[in-house]
Amino acid sequence: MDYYKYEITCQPNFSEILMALFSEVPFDTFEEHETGFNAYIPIKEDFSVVQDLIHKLKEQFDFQINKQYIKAQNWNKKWESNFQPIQIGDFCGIRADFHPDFDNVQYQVNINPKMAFGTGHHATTFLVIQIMKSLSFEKKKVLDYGCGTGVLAILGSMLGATHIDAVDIEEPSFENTIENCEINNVNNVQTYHGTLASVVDNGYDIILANINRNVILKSLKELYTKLNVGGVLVISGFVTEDKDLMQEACEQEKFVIQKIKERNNWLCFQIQK
Amino acid sequence: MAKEVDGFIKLQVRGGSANPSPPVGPALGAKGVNIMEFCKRFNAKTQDQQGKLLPVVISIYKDKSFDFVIKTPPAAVQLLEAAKLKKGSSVPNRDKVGTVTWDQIRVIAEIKMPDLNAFNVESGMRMVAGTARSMGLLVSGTPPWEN
Repeated sequence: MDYYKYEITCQPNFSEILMALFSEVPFDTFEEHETGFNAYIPIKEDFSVVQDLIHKLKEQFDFQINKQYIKAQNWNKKWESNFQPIQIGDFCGIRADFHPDFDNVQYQVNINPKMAFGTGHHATTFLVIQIMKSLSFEKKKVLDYGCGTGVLAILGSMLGATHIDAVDIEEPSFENTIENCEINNVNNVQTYHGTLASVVDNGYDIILANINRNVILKSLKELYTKLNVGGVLVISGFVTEDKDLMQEACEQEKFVIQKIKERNNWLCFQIQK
Repeated sequence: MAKEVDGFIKLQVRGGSANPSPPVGPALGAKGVNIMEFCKRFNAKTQDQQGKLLPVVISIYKDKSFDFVIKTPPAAVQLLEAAKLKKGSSVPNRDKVGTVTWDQIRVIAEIKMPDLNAFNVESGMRMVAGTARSMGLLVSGTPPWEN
């Protein structure tokens, strides 16, 4: 997404106050610097409220403002250009185009991430893949909720799933899943851009959701509805401090907790309807 | 041996909402840090403060790894919430459009103590009250140390 950067120059003692007041309109992030701060806002927002705010604040505070347009680009390109391949035991290897083939894994997924999450480096992806190893995907219908690079959907396809729906709210992730499916010659993944509501289908045997605590908590009821009886939901993206909260929420929705895995303070639950 | 620091980045990011767009993307991406890793970690740690503006200081090391420290919400943001205002006074020092109490100032000072350069809560309260006045907020009542 394209952004506007507002570079604010002000007295140091007004910097915190101005940031707080700017945060009342949809600026999403601020960057502090020696002579003030930069405020960032997605270009989709309504700029009349920003103009009104600046006009009012100018009456109150002495500051200079400089607006710059920032075109969307792959900011993660540098890391993506030389990341290390990842191996989850002898089960799965995740690599980029520029890495050589693995010679000792059952399944090899080729990922070209482009600012999407899911290269296997993160503990949560690693944990979900470990759980996938113990599940049967043969002839199963699967949903990958928060698909990122599509790595889990692609692996699910390689493991024998008949159909996979993959959805992500982030546009780069939606586009990247499609691209990575093509790279891996996977053609039974249907990719959606949006929230869980974008996926109208039901009757899944397995749902994979590596997102975050709040999104999972908000979606548990709907995920339960989308699963077949006996179906399995794999959730990750939350930390050990949230273990009790997540357990209670799963039990409240009548899920049976089958497995809990932990790695580097991150958790992954396998739960069943 | 301690890792060699390549630089620090000071941001204010909304809890649970870090994304790879500017400024997170260019600031971390230029150093070769995996932006997605930062976003995932920051968002997981701030799920209880969804949407709240949180200062974060990111240390980037020469080996392209990073650490970050999330600070307490800025006093000015907490004061706005305390006064239940949408904005400060349009004419500061004359047109007081909101009020905070000394009890609210104390609560904010106590939350901010780890990040304030203050010896005790009273001096922290004086700083927070100063911020409030600069924003055009009236601090109602008598300071507790004058009672």
